[in-house]
Amino acid sequence: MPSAPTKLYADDVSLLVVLLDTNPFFWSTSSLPFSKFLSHVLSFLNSILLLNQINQIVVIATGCNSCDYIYDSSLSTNPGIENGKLPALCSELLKKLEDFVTRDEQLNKQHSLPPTTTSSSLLSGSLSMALCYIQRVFRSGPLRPHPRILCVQGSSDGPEQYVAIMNSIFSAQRSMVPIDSCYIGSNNSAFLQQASYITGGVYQKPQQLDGLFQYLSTVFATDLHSRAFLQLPKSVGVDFRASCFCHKKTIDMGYICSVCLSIFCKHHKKCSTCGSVFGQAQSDVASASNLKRKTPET
Amino acid sequence: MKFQIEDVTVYFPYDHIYPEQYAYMVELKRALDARGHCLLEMPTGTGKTIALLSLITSYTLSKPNNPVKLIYCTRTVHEMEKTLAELKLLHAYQTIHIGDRARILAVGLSSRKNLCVNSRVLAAENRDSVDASCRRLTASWVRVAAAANPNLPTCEFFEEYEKAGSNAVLPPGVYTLQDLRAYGKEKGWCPYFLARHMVQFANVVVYSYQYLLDPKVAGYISKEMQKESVVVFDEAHNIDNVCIEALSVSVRRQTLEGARRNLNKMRQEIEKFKATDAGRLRAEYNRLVEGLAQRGNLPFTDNWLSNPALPDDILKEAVPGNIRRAEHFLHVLRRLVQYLEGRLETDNVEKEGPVGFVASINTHAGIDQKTLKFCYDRLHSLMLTLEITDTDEFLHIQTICDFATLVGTYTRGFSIIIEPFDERMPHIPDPVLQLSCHDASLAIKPVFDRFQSVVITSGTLSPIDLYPRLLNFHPVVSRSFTMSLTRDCICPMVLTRGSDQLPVSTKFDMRSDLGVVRNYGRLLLEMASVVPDGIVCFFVSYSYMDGIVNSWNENGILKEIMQHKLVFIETQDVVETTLALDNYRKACDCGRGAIFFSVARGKVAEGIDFDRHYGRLVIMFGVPFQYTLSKILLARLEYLRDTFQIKEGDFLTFDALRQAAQCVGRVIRSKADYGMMIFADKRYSRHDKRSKLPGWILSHLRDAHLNLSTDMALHIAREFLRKMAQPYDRAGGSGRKTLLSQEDVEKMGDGILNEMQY
Amino acid sequence: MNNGNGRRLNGETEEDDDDEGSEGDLDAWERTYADERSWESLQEDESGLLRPVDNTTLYHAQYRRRIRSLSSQATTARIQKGLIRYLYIVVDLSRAAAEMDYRPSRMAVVAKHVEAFIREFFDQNPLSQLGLVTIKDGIAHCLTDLGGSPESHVKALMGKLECSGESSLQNALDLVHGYLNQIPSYGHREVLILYSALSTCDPGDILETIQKCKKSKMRCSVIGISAEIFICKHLCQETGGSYSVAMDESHFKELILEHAPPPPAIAEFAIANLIKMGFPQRAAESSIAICSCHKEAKVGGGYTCPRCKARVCELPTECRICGLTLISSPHLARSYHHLFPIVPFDEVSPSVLNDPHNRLPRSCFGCQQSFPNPGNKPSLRVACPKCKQHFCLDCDIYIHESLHNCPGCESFRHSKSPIATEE
Repeated sequence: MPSAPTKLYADDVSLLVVLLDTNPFFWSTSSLPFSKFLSHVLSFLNSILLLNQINQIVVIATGCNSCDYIYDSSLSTNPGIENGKLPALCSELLKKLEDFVTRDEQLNKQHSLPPTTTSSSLLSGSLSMALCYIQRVFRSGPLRPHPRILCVQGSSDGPEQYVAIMNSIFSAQRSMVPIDSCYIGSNNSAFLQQASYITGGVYQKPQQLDGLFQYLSTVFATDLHSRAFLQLPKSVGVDFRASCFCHKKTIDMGYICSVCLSIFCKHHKKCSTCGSVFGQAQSDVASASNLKRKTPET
Repeated sequence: MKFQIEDVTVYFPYDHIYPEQYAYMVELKRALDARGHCLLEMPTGTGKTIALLSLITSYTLSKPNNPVKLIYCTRTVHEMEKTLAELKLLHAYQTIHIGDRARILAVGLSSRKNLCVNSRVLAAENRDSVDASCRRLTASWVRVAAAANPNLPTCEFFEEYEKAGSNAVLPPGVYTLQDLRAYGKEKGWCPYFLARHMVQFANVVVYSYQYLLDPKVAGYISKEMQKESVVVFDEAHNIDNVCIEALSVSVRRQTLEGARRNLNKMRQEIEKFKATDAGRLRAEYNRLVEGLAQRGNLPFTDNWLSNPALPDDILKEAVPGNIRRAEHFLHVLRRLVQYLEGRLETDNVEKEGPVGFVASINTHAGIDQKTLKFCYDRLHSLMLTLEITDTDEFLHIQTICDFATLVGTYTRGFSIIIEPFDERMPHIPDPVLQLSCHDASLAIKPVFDRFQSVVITSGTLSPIDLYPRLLNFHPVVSRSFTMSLTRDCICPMVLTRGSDQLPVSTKFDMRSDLGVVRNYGRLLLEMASVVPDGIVCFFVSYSYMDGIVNSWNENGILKEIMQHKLVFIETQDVVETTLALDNYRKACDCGRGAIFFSVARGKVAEGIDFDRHYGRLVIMFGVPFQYTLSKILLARLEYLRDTFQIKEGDFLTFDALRQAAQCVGRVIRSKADYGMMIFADKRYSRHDKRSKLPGWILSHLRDAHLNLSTDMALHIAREFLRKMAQPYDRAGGSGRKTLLSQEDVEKMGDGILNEMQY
Repeated sequence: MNNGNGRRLNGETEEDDDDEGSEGDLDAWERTYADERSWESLQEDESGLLRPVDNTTLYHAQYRRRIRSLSSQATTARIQKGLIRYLYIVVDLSRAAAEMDYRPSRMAVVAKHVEAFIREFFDQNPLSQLGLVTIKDGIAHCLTDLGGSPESHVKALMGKLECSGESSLQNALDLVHGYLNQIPSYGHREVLILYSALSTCDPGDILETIQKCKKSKMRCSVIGISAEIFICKHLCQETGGSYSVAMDESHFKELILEHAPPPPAIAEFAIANLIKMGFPQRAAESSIAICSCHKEAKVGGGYTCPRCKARVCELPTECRICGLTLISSPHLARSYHHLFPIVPFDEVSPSVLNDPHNRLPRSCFGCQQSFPNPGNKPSLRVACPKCKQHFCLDCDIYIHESLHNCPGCESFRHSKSPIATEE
């Protein structure tokens, strides 16, 4: 798309980066079929593009073994209609998505994951990629759209991604990029709740998945500037409690190791993560093998 | 590291070498191969000493059939110790690499005061009394008498040493003065005599200039040094002055009175001997008849008086008849002293050449030239005969005999100048008769003639072509090197005017100008507020310094300066100055900041380093010309003009700028150091003055830093300090490499030589 | 360099100074010629045309050197960083701080950057505490006590900005030493001195004070504004801090922000301890309670201390009633990236780029920016040593400075090393 003239870059131009969860383990057990889901999402994306001539959309797929860019609206050449078929937006996107899912599944076979485990999707990966893309947009100069991220996620949280996701959240907070979350799984996702709370985005768990498009277009379609005029769903009950490293139960009072900040529920003599002995000055640093990064589950 | 320079394998004890060190070594080797003399100028802080030592020892190692001895001359004892310490390092490195073949014997030699371990002797205050106390215990007749009478004190160390005989040797190794003392104490031998003896066999000898240049001393220390030696004069920028002073004598009223006293004493002694042991005097007489008054068959402990004239100029004849008998000799001396007293009574300044003076002595005192020439030898012999050991008491008569011998020996290159009072203080009569040598080449000529290669090296030898003329020799290599720097750690500036744009100078007619004084004061004040830690200021003379500090005090500028930093000042008293220096360093260390006022030709400028934070800025107030109305200086200038065709102005400028360069060179001692230099006088901007600064200063003196005023200098100073405070990459990551490793050196060819020369 | 007086720079043969005197700031249009000197940012390229200096590669090269030096300090054995820091900032308000070489005055610039530093500090070290000390007329005053709320510090700093008198380093060190001796043993004691003066007027022996600080394991760093002073260097060397001198305003800002991330802790210094902390729940939006910090009724949006059930408005804080440190798990998580830093990326060498056998990705993995064709220019792409993905230089900087995640490693579940022990 050629760059638009200056006067069109008003406050309400947005760049929306959508992180689509394509984790087959989730979709195989979901009540909403994937194809229906896609139609909701595609209509939503189209409506975004209609809201403003220079809105931009980037779609990143979050698989269970990999993540990749699927679609970038600023790159497509001709959004016109071809022979009465679906507009190019959809066909491109769908094709790429299909390719991605196939590749992702192949990686599954390669690493022979037992089919019974519900693995999580690589949310940290797609978040990181989204943030890198957004940084690039920031660098392009003062005339640019206002970026935000929308996570459409169904898989449950992977506790091993805790630190990476928190890093991404803090980085987004520093760059003032809100992360909206539309969670279509069964229980609430604590990671996404925290993400939206910290970055100032909106977290929504739609009650009825049949009307997903309605939820998307009413809650998540507005640009950042106009959100000030709307009553969006407030965050209710974000659970900031930590869970201890030793039992993984949620605690509201605990003990922190001053060296590595691991959380324990009772007093220990020695920290299991970094090996420091409490009450004594350290004389050597922990070796890498000792250090295990256990992440609390929240 | 180890590398080749043509056919010599050089062992260098560090892993990295500066390019200029390498170039220096190449040039040095060239001179050694050519068996000629050389002049090398290399800036301070670039490792000149270790380069010299490393190359020469490696040269010796590579030519085992023609071993070359190294005689290294330094100016001060401190430098001697430093050199020996470096040599130790080098020696350790070489023995690791090539084992026993690298073993050498290196000794330092100094006066008895620095080497004696006998506590009774050491208790004497100054050098001469230490000498005298030593002789009292070790003179040959004393020892003979002590052998008969055990109650007489002798020096136990010396006795042990004598007993050990030919076993008294130093095992191979490097011995600093401290090491010698320790060794002496351990073995019970006298370190001084041991060292003096070992000097002949050592591969490397380190001692002071006097031991080679001053005929009085060189005569018995260095007479047996081999011809195949390399002599190195380090920090030799003032070598012409050292040569001149070695052959100059000055006689005052006190000297003559003292001489009279000495003569009386000697007469008494003679009377005593005549009564008790007349045979001795007769034996002496006979000896003199046979012409054996010269040294050679005297026990070496009795060799303390040596002829002040150069070895080639001493007549090898029998002593003239009129002074063979002791009483006659004393008469002659008395007549001479009387004559000199008469000459000192004059009211005018008189100047004469030696020939005229000798003629006049002949006319008035009846002493002919040949007699005068033998005065010294005769005195020596007489004192031995009379068994006089308190040589410190007889210094005056020695001075007179020095004078006489010199005046009798030389016909050219000397002047006798008699001044009734000091020009600057006309009402105080202080007559002085000076025999001043004008020709620096006289004292150093035997060194050039005798030894195979003489290396004269220093950080400030500019302009380098003047030295061969002054010292009358022909160097085969004469080069000037610059420092290779990763960053410009020197910032020289020439400041010619104050903030009010009035020119500043210490030219005589401008000195008392209030504007100049104020501008200088403001310069110092502004700099004190911008430069951290220590600042050193050099003034042209004590009187000028006093005057200007007084004026600053009256103006209140001094008080303002003291608010920023504490002020310390050098005086003519050594103890006070040492105390001031100590406190100055303390002030710099604790962050209070200090300024040190010093004089360009003083002790501080010659010897004290102000490196690192002790000297971040040095200001040279004015151009340090010598006192141009001094008669001696005028006589010397005239001589130089007549003999060497060196113009007076040129020589004076050369001397002044060499002094200035020496002063400002105090602030940089290594490449990681940094400092600024301000030459505060409008005369520095003139090309004839500026071009006489050494290359390594000139290469940093940018055109933008010439002709500055105070505020401009301030701005440059601020920027420079900030830039230098940034972290420093020693090896020079970007751009040209300034620290070469072994491979770099191997890859290098001759290209580097051309780069390094200025 | 940005002095109103300064026109003599870099040895350029400018016309001999017009004596405009030493007073008067330049007008803005003049400043573009005198100070900003836009013509200097032009360079000739190979064909002799003028181009603006390519700053980005220079900037990137500098950045990479810095990262490399930092990571080489961290080495394979992880050096524990001081995560619970008690830092005192000592601001020199002596006579020298009124100088105008920074606009409008050194003091104002320092205050501005200290404010930015305070916010950054609390951002990166949520569990740490900060205090402010000023030196004026040779006496050191404690401006604010150690505390965890940035606003109070900033307000106190902006309130009192006058300078006069001498500066005394020893008095400041003594004061700070007294305060820092009282903190718990697991905290890291640090002092950051912003020194504008060129000397210090001390009542006693400052070298003794330095030894005292060294014994108490206080890490003192100094940022000099005028020039390098020996005593400051000595102080920093003895106590293990860092000494730097700022060349101009922007450099000063860089230097001061370098102190915001935790320094490598000298391991013997801090005694490991278990600190009791609470993780309060966020109250529901409609609840009403009296908050203990403002002593007034507030609706919704607060936190309840788990021990004494008092309400506090923001985290992290210490409960005023029972003294329990209250934090939320994101606060702890904010510091985890210090413990698990990512490896620096390697430059892709031009030989690899030019090798026709290699199939190179054509765009940056993170931002999808396409790479220019490899030519003889220095490489413009870097690769993660673990997942081997290629990134552009800007992503490299962003990833290492802000994001602390490698997108490539995060995007592949079964990359070379398992994710669990990655980073």
